[in-house]
This record gives sequence, C-alpha cells and structure tokens, in this order.
Amino acid sequence: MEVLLSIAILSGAALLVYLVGRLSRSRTLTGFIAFLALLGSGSSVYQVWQTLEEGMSVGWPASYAQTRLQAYLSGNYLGVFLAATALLLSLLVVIYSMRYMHRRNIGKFYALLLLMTAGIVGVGFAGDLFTLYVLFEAMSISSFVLVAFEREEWEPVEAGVKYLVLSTVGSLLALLGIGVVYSWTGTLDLAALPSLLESHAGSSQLMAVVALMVIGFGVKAAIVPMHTWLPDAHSAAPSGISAMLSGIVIQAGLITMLKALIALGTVNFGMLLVALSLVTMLVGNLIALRQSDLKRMLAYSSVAQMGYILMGMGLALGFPMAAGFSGMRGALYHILNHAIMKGGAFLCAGAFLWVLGTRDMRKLSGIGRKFPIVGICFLFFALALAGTPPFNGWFSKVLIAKAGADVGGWGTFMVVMLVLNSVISLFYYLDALNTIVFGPVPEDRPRTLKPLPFLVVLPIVTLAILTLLLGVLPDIGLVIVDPAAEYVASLIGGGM
Amino acid sequence: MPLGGCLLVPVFGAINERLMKWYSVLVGFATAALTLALISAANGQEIGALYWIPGIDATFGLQLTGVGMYVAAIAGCIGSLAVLYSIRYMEDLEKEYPPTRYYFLTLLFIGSMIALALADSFLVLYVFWEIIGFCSFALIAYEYKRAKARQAGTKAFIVTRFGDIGLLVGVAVLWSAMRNLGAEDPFSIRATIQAAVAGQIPYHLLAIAGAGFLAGAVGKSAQFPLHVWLPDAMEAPTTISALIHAATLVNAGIYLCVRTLPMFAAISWWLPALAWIGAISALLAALLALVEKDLKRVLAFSTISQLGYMMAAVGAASVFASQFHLMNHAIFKALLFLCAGSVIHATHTRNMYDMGGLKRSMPVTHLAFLIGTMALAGIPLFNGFWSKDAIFEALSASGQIGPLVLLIITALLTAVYSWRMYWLTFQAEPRTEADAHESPWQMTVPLGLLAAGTLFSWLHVGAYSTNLGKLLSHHVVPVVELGELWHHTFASPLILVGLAVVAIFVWLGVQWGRRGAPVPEGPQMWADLVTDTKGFFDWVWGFWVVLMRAVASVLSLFQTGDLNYNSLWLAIGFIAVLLMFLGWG
Repeated sequence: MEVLLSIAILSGAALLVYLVGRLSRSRTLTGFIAFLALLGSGSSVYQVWQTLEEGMSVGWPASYAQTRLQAYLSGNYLGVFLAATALLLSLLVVIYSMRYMHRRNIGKFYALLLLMTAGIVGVGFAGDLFTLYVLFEAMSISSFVLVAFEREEWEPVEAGVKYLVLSTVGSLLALLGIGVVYSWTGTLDLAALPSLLESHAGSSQLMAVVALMVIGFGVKAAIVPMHTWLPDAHSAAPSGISAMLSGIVIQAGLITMLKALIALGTVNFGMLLVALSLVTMLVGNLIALRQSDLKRMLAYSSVAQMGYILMGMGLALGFPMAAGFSGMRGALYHILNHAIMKGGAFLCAGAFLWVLGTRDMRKLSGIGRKFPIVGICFLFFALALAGTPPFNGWFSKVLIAKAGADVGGWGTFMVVMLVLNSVISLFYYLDALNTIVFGPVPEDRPRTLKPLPFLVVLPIVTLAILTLLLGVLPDIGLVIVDPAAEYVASLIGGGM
Repeated sequence: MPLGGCLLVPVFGAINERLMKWYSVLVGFATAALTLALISAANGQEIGALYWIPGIDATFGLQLTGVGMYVAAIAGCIGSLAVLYSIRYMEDLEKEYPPTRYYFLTLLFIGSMIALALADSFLVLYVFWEIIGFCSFALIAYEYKRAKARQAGTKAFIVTRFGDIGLLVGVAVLWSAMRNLGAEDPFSIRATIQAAVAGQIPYHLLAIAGAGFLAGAVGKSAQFPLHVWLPDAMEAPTTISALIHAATLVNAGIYLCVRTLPMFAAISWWLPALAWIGAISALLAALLALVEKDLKRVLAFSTISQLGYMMAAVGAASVFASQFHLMNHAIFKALLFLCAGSVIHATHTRNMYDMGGLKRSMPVTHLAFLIGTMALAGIPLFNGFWSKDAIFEALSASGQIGPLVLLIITALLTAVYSWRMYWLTFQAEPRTEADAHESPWQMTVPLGLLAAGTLFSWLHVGAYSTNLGKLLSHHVVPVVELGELWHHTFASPLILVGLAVVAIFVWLGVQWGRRGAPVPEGPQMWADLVTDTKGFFDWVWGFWVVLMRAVASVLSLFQTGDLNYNSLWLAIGFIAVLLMFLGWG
C-alpha cells in the first residue's frame, strides 16, 4: 500500500496544486504544497524501505496474480534508491523555483513537476512491463511540457517538439518490444519473464526485442546516437527543470531500460552496453569541449556522465559473476552523485541566468566573484564532475574503475578509457571555472546587479554541502546504494 | 594538524588579517615540530586507523614508515619556512587578492602532502594525490586576473592528471587483486607489498599496476615526456614554486616509486624504465636550462633535471640514494627559490639579463644563493655533491651504464648552467634600474636556515640512512655512516679527475654568464623558442589537443538540430545495434 501511496500522494497533490494555482498566484503557497507532497511521498518511501529491511515484500496488490487492472507495483531496493534520489532533487528544485519561476502559470509548473516526480518514483517500483511503460510515459509527457514551459519563446518550444518526437518514436519502439514479449509469454510480470523467455534464448527474435528496448528506452537515457534531443531540451528548459532532467530523468530512463533488459534475461547485452557507453562518453566529452553556452556544455557533459553510468551497468550485466555487484554499485552511486553535482551545476547556471539573462560563458565571465557563495558552490560542482577528491564524483568513478579491474583483460582497458575521458572533461570544466569564477569582469556589465533571493541560494548551498560530504565520507551514500546494487546483482545472478 | 589548521584560516581571516598570517606561521611551525617528532618516535605503530568507508573495507590508515616520515618532515619543515617567508613576500599582491585563500590553500597543500606520505592505504594516497593536484592548480593560478597564470594552473592540473589515469587504474587493479586474495584491508599498502613479494598477485596484474604507477609518478614528478607543466607553473608566486618544487608536489611521484619499489622490482622492465626516464629527463632539462633567460624557469628546469636523478636512483633500486638526494635537493632548491623570490622582490623582473651586480646590494641573499648554486652544481662538501655521488655509485653498482653516462653528462651541464645563472644574477655589472635592497628579516631568516641546511645536512647521513630503513620490512636500505661515505667518495682517484672536469665546466659557465645577453638577438630567439616549448614537447602535446578539438568540431557538425537528422540517427542506432547482434550471433 505504501508503494501506491508514494505515487498517489504526488499525483493527488499535482491536481491540488493546479487548482490552488488557478485561485492564487502565490509561489510560496503552491510551492509549499508541492514541498509537503514530496515530504509525504518521502515518508511512504521510507516505510517501504523499513518493510523491506524487515524482509517482507511490499506490493500493490500483494502479488502479481491478484492484479485486476494489469497494474502491479512492487517495492524493491532499486525503486527505493531511485525514489530517494528523485525526491531529494525534486525537493530542492521546488524550493529553488519558489523564487526562480515567474508567478504566471506557477500552479501548472508545480503540478507538472510533481507528476514527473511521480513518474520517476513509479518507474522504480513498477512490477510489470505495462506499469513500467505507463509510468515511464507519465514521466516523459510531463517533461515535454516542462521543457516547452516558457512557450512565448521560440527556443523552448522547438526543443520541446524535438524532444517529443524523438522520445515518442523511442517509446513506440519499446512498446513494440513489449508487445512481442506479451505475445510470446502472455504475461508482463517482470519477475516471471526471465524463466518464461528461456526457451527463446539465443533466438534472433529475442535479440530484436532487446534492440528495440535498448533503442527505445535509450532515447530517454540519451545514449549516443539517440542523444540528439538532449542539448536543446536541457538548455532551453527552465533551470530547475534542467537540473531534474539531467539529474534524474535520463537516469530514470536508464533504469527503465535496465529493468526491462533484466526481465529479458539470457541475452548477453553487457558488451553492447559497454560499447555504447564508450561512444557515449567520448562524443559527449568532445562536443562539450566546443560549447560556449554554459547550459549546453553541462548538457553535453550529462551525455558523457551517462556514458560512465552505462559502463558500470554494462560491466555488471556482461560479467555478473566478476562485476555484477561492483559494477552496479559504481553505476548507481554515480547516479546519486550525478543528481547532486549536475543538479547543483544547473541550479548555479540558472542563478547566473536569472541575474544576467545570458547563458553565454564569455558574458558570464567573473560573475562567480560577484556572487561568491554561488561561485564557490559552482567550483565544487565543476570539480566534482571532473572527479576530483574531496568532492563526491571521484568515489563512484573509482567504484566503476574497480568493476573494470574485476573483469580484467579488456575491462582494464575500459577503465583506462573511462579515466582518460574524465581527464578530457577536465579541460572544459576548468575552462568554465576559469571564465565564470576567475575570469575578468566585462566592462559593460552594470555595477549593481539584483541580489539573488535566499530561496535560490539555499538549494545550491545544500547540494554543495552534500557534494563535499559524500566526497569526504562516501559511506553515507553506500547505505542507500548498496542494497539496490545487491538487489540488482541478485536478479542477474551475480556474486559480490 | 595543518589539515585541521587550514580550516581555521578563514575564521581568523575574518577577524584580522595579521592575526591570520601569524596563526598560519604558528600552524606551520607546529607541523614542522610534529613531523620532526615523528622521526624520533618511529616505533612502528599505526598512528591512526579510522574506519573510513566500511562499505568497501577501506580504512583511513596512516602508518609511519622510514621513507614516508622523511618526506613528511621535508614537507613540514620547508613548508613552514615558506609560510614565514610569504608574510612579507605576498604583501604586494594582497591589495588585489585577499590573502585568506592563499594561506588556506598553502596549509591544505602541506597537510595533504604529509597525509600522502604517511598513508597506509592506496585509496587514501590517491585521494590526497588528487588534492595536492587541485591545490597546485589553485595556487599556480593564484593571480587569477592574469590569463597566463590561469592557463598555467590549468595545464599543471590536466597534465598531472594524465599521469593520474595510470595511478587510478593501478589502484583499481591492485584493489581487485587483493580482494580476490580475500585480504582484510584490500587497500593496505603494507599488505599489498607483502602479497606481491610473496608472489600472490599475478604477474600480469602487477605489470599493469606497475605501468600505471609509473605513469602517475612521471606526471606528478614532471618527468619526460610529461615535464611540460612544470616550467609554466613558474607563474605561481615564488613561495608556491618553492613549495611545489622542494617540499611537496614533485616529491610525491618519487615517493610513490620508492614506496612501491619492492612490489614492482619483480617486473623485468620496471627498474630500467625508471632509470632511463630519469636519465633522459635529467639531460633534456639540463640542456634547456642552459639557454633559458628567466631565472625561475632555469630553476624549474633544474628541478626536472634533479628529479630525473632521483628517478634514476630508484631505477637503480637504491632507496638511500634517491631519498638522500630528495632531502638534499629539497633543501637547496627551496633555498634557491626563496633567494630568487628575494631577488625578484627587489628587482621586479625575472629576466636574468636585466639583473646583475646584485651581490653588493643584497649580501645575505647573495651568499645564500651562492651556497645553493654550489650544492646544485655538485661542488664537494655541499650536500648536493654527496647525494649525486651516491646516485652514480648506485647506478654503476646495478650495472645500468646507459643512464649513468647520461647522468654524468648532465652533471657537467648542471655545473655550466648553475654558474651561468649565478654569474648573470649576482656578479658582473648591474643592468637593472630598480633600486635593489636587502629583504626584511621574515625573508632572510628562512634563507639563513636553509643555507645552513645546505651546508650541513649531509653530516646527518648516518642517522638518516638508519632511520630510512625503519619500519619497511621489504625495502633494503644499507646504513651508510659518515666516515664511510667520506672514505668511499675520496678513495677513488677518479673523483679527482671528475672534480677537475667539473671545475672546467664551472669556468665555462662563468664565462658564459659574463657575456650577459647574447648579441646579436638571433640565437636567443631560437633559445627562447626551444625553452618555451620545453624542447618542442608543448607542440607534441598541443598537437593532440588540436586534434581533439578538430574531432570535436567534426562531431558537432553531426549535431544539426534538425529533427529529420535526429530521427535518422535514431534509425542508424537501431540498425547498428541489430548488426552488432548479428555479428555476435
């Protein structure tokens, strides 16, 4: 029941926020409702976690056999992990948007944000392919609208349409795959599928289904070459939404893919994912080198970071015995870290955009010194993204590197590629730092700028503290990552 | 101690700037005293093992080792002198750049280096390794309003991180290997060395890790071919240069090699690779130093060169020779840098052709610089001489003739460029308009202490070599007594011939220095070109950067933003995945 509640609270509150937004334009009031809804959802996720800790299963309905609407939610550690990360980031974005967003349409904004979060939480807890697909779409649809939220301008609308078209094509491919699976087995229960599909193992039809799933959900996860929508969408969206998209939505896409692929079982697609991850990180990092638009640069670097995460997952799926646990652990920890550091970086970019009305790095030169607190936080995030201790990014990279070393042989080579990529990324992160924080102040900038509201700075500082904390004491994150990694490792038959 | 101390710097800075500075000095000296106390208290206990990341069995283990405690002591002592020196030296910059950042980063830098030297866990070592990399970036780019300083900082960080690729891979491979052995603490350096010596770690894994660690050390210690960042790092304030070159950053690479020596000595190519890399770096840097005109950059090249000696000494499997030279070099190089800082402070230029005749106006600095030069050039009775001699001996004992020959040639070149540098700066006619005068006591006291160290540190060799071997179960460190060293060195008649040759080269250097700036300008242009590109290696690496950017440009052509193309890519991706599956069957 708690599982359903964690999603229902968010969806219900979305309706409420919309209605309240029609009556009042208060950003504080609507924001506060959203805030409470997220806390409520968080407490039910916590209950799910507690129940799982006691060794009991949590589902709604209690088992797949009892479903009437073909919708089945089952509590699991992976879902708890995803929900916790999403709720944390969403909570901060809600606070941030209370001052950042314009008054007009604020109700709609929070309603969509809550729906999107509900989708993400639901993706984690979905127990069958149908529910997975529906909630995945719920997340996607609200994100399309959020990208094009500032609809008076051309850029967001164009970005939103691109995102919509590509993502829908992807979803349809995935749906086709789901349909094929259903026609074979007559069930969509994620837990039952692997054994039912054993008879198809190695058949070319099953491989085609895998390809459909990888491509279909891969669009959302921004895997190269399906990433083309991402830079437009992430840079045109309101900054809070960019933080959500980069921080958790594309990762939710990846986890959707992971859940579907695990259900398909026997095909060895780990190698495929590792190959894709190599291309993804290289392309993301190299194109990011050329960007002068801060948010576009961060968007491309998200593509690259997805490559790191995908590499951990690919190693885990490809070599469950050697790296099943360590690879998943690295990938999931990197999702958590990435949500914190990239979310924070986008919020910083948004703060600069709010003050100066530009995303061009040359025009933002030296702005970090004008607002030292945000500037220092941006320094934290950039260095964390580049994987420098004592900020959080390094630890998850070391974990992924460990997975590669566990595989041995060419796995070690993959590690070399991974670290080489993170050195390439250092070029543009340091470049951004050198301009935004240390660069000279342009002559034509007005002497007095409007001050940043407290509620905009607060989430940024919170994320920066988390960045430092998880970098110095990485064990805190493992509390939530490890059970999820163990859960996935047990599904794919991996050892420690 | 300094790690905790640095956190309080901003607090004090908020109260009062003067208070903060003296507080920093206090922390510095307390650190120095503590690190020295460590040496006398070496009794083999782990000095602290917190359970750091229980999830991966990582402890925050610190362990006292003979090698580590000396590296820590060097960082502590020289670091504290540099902090004292900064008080006056940094005054000029304080109007533009608030000093809180400076003292915070400096103390963090020193503290991290000490932690690195005392770490008993590869993970801890890696973390502090990266933190000192970050500190060096931030301190080199301290004067962030100058584009050159920013670039130099960025370059230092990126180039050293190229080496760190190897280190991280090495750490991951060893972690994986140790975990497979079922080790209790898979990161422990001690346990890993033990396992490696016992032959429990498969040879090929050891080889991968060895190559990785070598790459890391080459990057951090600015060895060929990753030496390009160090001369540019001269954009840093001179105190920071002294800190980087003598006390902290570059020593880390040598320390890493020495610490892991027993582990990788089994790999057939590891030791010769070290020796050759060291020798080539030493020779290359010495050649470049011959024609450099910037005082600080001459010192930078000489650092690369001297680090080459240490690297080669590790390659000869001699812990003593490399560490002895590390200590001596740290002392005289810090001395030289701080003198250079004093000179630059007085003349406001770094170009040696604009200096000259400073011996009258700056007597204390002059004397100190002379002592440092003697040590660098390897004149007998100064500390540099003894350790260089020990390195030659170690190399010839291990039968690596090639590197030995290169290093002997380098020693002669060293005599030339160091005397040229000295003569251009302090002797001859004054060529500067600036009204040069002696520096205040906060600057000269560290100079005096370091000069005394340069003169007498070799007398301490007996205790040094005894302590060095302590607590290191797998390192072989013979105890070298002072008398033995003396007897050994002067017993051979060859040494006299050698000294005569060195004297000739010193004379050459003086002659060269006497000529001042070359006339006509032509040769100097070429010399500047070669030194600015660090022997054209900037171009070699620059080529890759340009290539990378070109590839990026081509890639961004594919990012048209046109929805039709975007969908096309989706289709291509789908087909590619299908084809991949077909290929694998």
